[in-house]
Amino acid sequence: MSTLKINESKEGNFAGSLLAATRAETTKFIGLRALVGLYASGILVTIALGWLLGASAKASGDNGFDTAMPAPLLVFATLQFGQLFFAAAAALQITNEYSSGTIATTLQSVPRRAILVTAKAIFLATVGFLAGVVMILLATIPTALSAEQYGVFELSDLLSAAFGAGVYLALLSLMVLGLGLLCRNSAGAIVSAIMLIVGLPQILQLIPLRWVQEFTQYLPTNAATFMATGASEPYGPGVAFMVLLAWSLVLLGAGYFTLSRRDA
Amino acid sequence: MITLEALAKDFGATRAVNNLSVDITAGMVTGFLGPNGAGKSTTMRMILGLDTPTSGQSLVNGVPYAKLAYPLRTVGAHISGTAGHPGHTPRTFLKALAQSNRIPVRRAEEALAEVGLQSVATKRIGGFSLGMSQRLGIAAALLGDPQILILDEPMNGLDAEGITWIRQLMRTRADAGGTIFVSSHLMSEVQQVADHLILIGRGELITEAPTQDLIKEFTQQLITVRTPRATALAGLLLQHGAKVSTTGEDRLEVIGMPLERIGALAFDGGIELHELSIIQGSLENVYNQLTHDTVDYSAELTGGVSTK
Repeated sequence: MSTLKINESKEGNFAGSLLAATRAETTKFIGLRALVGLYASGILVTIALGWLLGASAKASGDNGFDTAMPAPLLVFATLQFGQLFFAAAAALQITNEYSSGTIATTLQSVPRRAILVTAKAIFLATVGFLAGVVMILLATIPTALSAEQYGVFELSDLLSAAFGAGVYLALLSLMVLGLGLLCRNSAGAIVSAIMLIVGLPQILQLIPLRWVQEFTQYLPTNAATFMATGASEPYGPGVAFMVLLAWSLVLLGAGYFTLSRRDA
Repeated sequence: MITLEALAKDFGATRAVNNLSVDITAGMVTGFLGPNGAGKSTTMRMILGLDTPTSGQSLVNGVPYAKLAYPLRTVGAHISGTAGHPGHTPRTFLKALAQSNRIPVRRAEEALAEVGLQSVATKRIGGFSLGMSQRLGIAAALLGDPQILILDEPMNGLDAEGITWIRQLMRTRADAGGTIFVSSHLMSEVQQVADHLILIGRGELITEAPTQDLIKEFTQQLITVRTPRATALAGLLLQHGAKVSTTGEDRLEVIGMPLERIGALAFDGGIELHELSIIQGSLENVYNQLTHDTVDYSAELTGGVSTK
């Protein structure tokens, strides 16, 4: 009956549908002030904490302690707080849909679960990467200023930290998206994300078993540190990236499996 | 065209929909009637691929919903009372939907105009009344100018003008060749607009037929007779081909015989009458009768709390 000549098409190609779904995710994100605000807050908090940590490094250094560290890495160290904002935002991108009931409309418009999950993943990974890079670039300036000679850095430090933070936040977003798909509610997704990135590393430290300590090295936050600092022990940035990627794929895969099998 | 083939759905031990097989054809409005909890929403959710059937399948224009690349261009649906995220504006909500199905974004404005929500296009959905939410949901359903429209209880929360409007909308699209599938738990809401009715109760098909046929079949004249010689009169009427049932010691209900003939037969037989009257059966009464046995949560069971 179409008077508009919007063609019905039964055979859509995956890439075309994926691009369309990703654009829709972008529009939904921009339309929610709360989500945009979370990313902005994460970046602002990191800038403030970076400046504070720089000042602290200078005070310690002036008092004879050896706390000098390249400014971009000082910023990266504050990410343990800043990451919470980005994790919450990533969780909300999916759990919002469950709390408001829009998941039904979303799945009507994009019934192929693989396309929906991939679209959300592409969007969140892109925003996470950009947030990480922008955050390091912006926060390094006040941090370097407050740390003075104790925060001297090379361009390679800056690039490594920026790239590391970007990749970490991109992959963290995917992990949290997976948790959101598993939990289907904001509180559950955010709490489990905090447990994964803050709780687990501290809890596991208390268990004096060798293999537990070994495993702790492979938790996402530790892998992120090894990746951004260019460490060589216990493993280098390449392995660190693979570890983060594995975490993302496992959690996202579990989330996708749940979405496909359970009624919406 | 929507095809349901032996569709069934279990929620745990409860069978919500059982062996439902019907065709919902193009060019007409099909009403989907049943009491609350009869399985109407579950059926619609299965058509839209939101719930997976336990067995059987549903097809839209011959294919499963999930096989449609850009489903909003084929099927428009509004299945819950609310639409969109409370923090979004109608414009954002519809724009994202349009983008997801490669529908020109200008359709968002057109659809808002079609449902009369242009003036609140940039207001947050969270502040909407139920009636406005219904209209927004219908705007979303109309976005891709789909041939098939699936509406779950669309008249809930609409005022009289809104109900007239939605009836007209369904009529117009059906006349233009659309397939319109609309659910309700109130016969009076759909009786006027539906060409065809599907009645379900406890997840099972009770009956399906053109609305006119159902009305004809069930609105035969029902005649009440009061007489001190009920048994004698009943025998007499039965001999002459009427259907008779006793509803009290001196009271009979008669179907299939005109009032005048009953009076004449009683007169000839010398039987005294105290009352002879016609009760016009309405489709509403019929529906209530048909579904009465299938209401899961009736007043008696829940201590007088009615769930309509």
